[in-house]
Amino acid sequence: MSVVVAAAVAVPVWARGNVIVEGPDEDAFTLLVRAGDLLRRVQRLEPGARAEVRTIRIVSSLSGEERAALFEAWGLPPVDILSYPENAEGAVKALSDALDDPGDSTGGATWVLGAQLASPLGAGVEDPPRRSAIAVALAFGAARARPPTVAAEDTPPQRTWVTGDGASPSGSPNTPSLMGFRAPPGSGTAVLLTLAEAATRTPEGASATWVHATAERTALRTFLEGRGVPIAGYPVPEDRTFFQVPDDAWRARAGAPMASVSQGAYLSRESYTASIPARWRLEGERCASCHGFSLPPVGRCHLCGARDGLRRSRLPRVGAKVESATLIHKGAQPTEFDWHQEVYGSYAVGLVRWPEEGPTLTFQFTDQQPPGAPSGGEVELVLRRLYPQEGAWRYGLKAVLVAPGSADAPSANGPSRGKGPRRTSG
Amino acid sequence: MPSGTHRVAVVGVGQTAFGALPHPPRALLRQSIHEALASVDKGISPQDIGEGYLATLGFGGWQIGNPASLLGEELGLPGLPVSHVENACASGSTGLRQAYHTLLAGAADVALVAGVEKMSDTPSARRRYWLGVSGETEWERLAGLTFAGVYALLAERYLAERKLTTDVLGAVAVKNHAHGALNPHAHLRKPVTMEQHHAAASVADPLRLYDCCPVSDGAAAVVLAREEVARRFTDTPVWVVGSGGGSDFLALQDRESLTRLPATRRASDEAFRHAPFGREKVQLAELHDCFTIAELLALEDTGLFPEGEGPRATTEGRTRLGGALPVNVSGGLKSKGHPLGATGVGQVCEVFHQLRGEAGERQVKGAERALTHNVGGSGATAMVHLFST
Repeated sequence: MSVVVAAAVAVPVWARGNVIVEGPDEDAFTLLVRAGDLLRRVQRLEPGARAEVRTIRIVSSLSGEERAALFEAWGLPPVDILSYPENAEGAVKALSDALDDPGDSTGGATWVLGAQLASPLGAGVEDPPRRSAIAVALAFGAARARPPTVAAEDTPPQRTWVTGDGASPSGSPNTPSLMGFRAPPGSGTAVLLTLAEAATRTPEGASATWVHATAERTALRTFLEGRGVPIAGYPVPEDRTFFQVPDDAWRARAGAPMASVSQGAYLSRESYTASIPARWRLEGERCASCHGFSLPPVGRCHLCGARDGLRRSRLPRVGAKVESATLIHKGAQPTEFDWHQEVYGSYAVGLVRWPEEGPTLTFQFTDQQPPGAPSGGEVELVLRRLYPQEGAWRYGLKAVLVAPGSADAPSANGPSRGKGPRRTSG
Repeated sequence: MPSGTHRVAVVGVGQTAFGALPHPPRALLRQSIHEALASVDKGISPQDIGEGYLATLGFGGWQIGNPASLLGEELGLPGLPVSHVENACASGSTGLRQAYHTLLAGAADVALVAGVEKMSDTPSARRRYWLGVSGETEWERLAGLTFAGVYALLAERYLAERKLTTDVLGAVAVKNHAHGALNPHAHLRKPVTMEQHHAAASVADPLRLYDCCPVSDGAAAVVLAREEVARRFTDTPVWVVGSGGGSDFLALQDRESLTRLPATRRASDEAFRHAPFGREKVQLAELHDCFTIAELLALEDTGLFPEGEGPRATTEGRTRLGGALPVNVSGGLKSKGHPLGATGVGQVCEVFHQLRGEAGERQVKGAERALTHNVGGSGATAMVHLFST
């Protein structure tokens, strides 16, 4: 049999308890990417460790192209993906299949990923291009990868919970917990959450399970009772106020066509696709001569022109520091971001620099981060939607401020700035 | 002084008013060219012109290809060798530099440089396309930046490092609006107070509305002649005595500094290398102030003020008309207006009038030596020119 060895939940910021965020720029795709990243983190997998992920069962209506892009975003070689219908029954089936999976000799893990794609407004609001999502992911280690003792002992450390982006709705950012999560009614998310919770407690589940679902109780009850999970009750979500702002945003956006003709920086689908390794995974080249970092990699050092001694290298997604930031108000946005301004208002953009690796890159801040982030503030880069073009979303990394800078942060323009040997100005 | 070897004469200038104008770009171009020819003291025939340069970024957003041929058409000189020059907002001064080199090389005796832009009547989306098209596209723009945002990042860093408030930005705006109010050709002929500056809407923090130049239409043209033939056209030419150019990484993220523009520094050094006078002799400067922060950067990058002195020189009034070194007495891009391709050529028009004592209310008394500075984008290109009587 299989056991749950790790679980991760990527929660869109606008659905986190008391946090009101005006600009959801996440969707099923970005949340699934995030969930996979979190899973890998809790599993402590090395990038590209093929043997560790054998199968992915995915509860989502992502297109084939989007499913393939998941591996691009994760930086993992593709493995088999089994798709399930994007509803509670699909989730139940995916989870059941994964638990019943005998595993194989490779010892690889099975990931179960789910993303709920319904609008937070519920049925009746059709907005496929901007479909929102709440993603839940579970990793199931095959039995042969994880010795039976794990299941027999029901060892808590083998069950690592990580809530979305490390922030727990209960207010304590580092407390792994799902119990404080308040699911939007009818979203189906709670089903998956509860399945995740149930799965870790089955079959020896020590206590009763609170079921955070409302609309899909029947399917859930069937599943849980079928597995002998005691159900303690079905609390009704007590607070809907945190949905008001996103509701307005959704209403404002509903019916607006996606921009298909550029009045701005036209980057063709081909060019965009070619830039994905750099744009999503920060893959570039390190120059042996000047130590400069070129991104995207073009086989020639962007700084000193060297063609030899270039080594493929990837910048880390954490650890970059804010050098300067601004808040872009209405009228100062490129036309690609008109929709963003119309619906959500001003957004922040900053230059962030990798102190160790050298380069500086430009990123939009997600989640309406405040402008003027103090110099030295640290960011994490996450995959988010940028803007629509040619009927499809263009994705890229955005910055999330994870640690504020100190007032006496060293000047970013001091002698240490620059990717290679400093040039003297003329 | 290396007399003769490095100078060409400005013998005539013409400029439309800058602003939201009803005329198509071709009509603006026509007006500026014929005004420039008519301004030549001893007269000039179109047939005297041997080379033409047209500076424009987007023309009217539609004649993107081959617009320079219109120079010959408007002069009644089909057949004139012409070139379209483009370095974004520095296109005008780039045209000037091309003509300067052409004349110094002896390839022509007389050259025409014209710049034109028509932006006010284009739809907002298209206008922002043209305003943003000269920035780095794949990373900067796709992170949501146009030039307002790019200059805001420079300003944020500048203020933070120097521990300054937005008062210093406001001081530039107040000064240049005061100057522009005296210029009949200016787009925004109205004074602005520090209170108005601070109360205006934010565009891209820390830049507010009055930190940003307007979107202007306009054209400007200058007639240049080799020293050997200059006296045929005027007894009081204004000499171009130095030309310098520079460039830098297109994207801010690749630059070595966020608080200086190396392209300007290089351009300024080159311009002064052959000039018959040093920086301390400059009596007025037209600096590229597309945003107020840009003027502050330019004060020091041109070397007109020592490192760290720019803000104090501004707040103490040293750069005001009547101060030790008046900057942007035309109103600058900030108040006179910024019809991209015409801007650098318009700066020459201002200097021509100033050095000939024809600048009216905004005349810098006794001005004999001047500097113009023109930046493309956020400093990817820059040109500096020096002038004397």
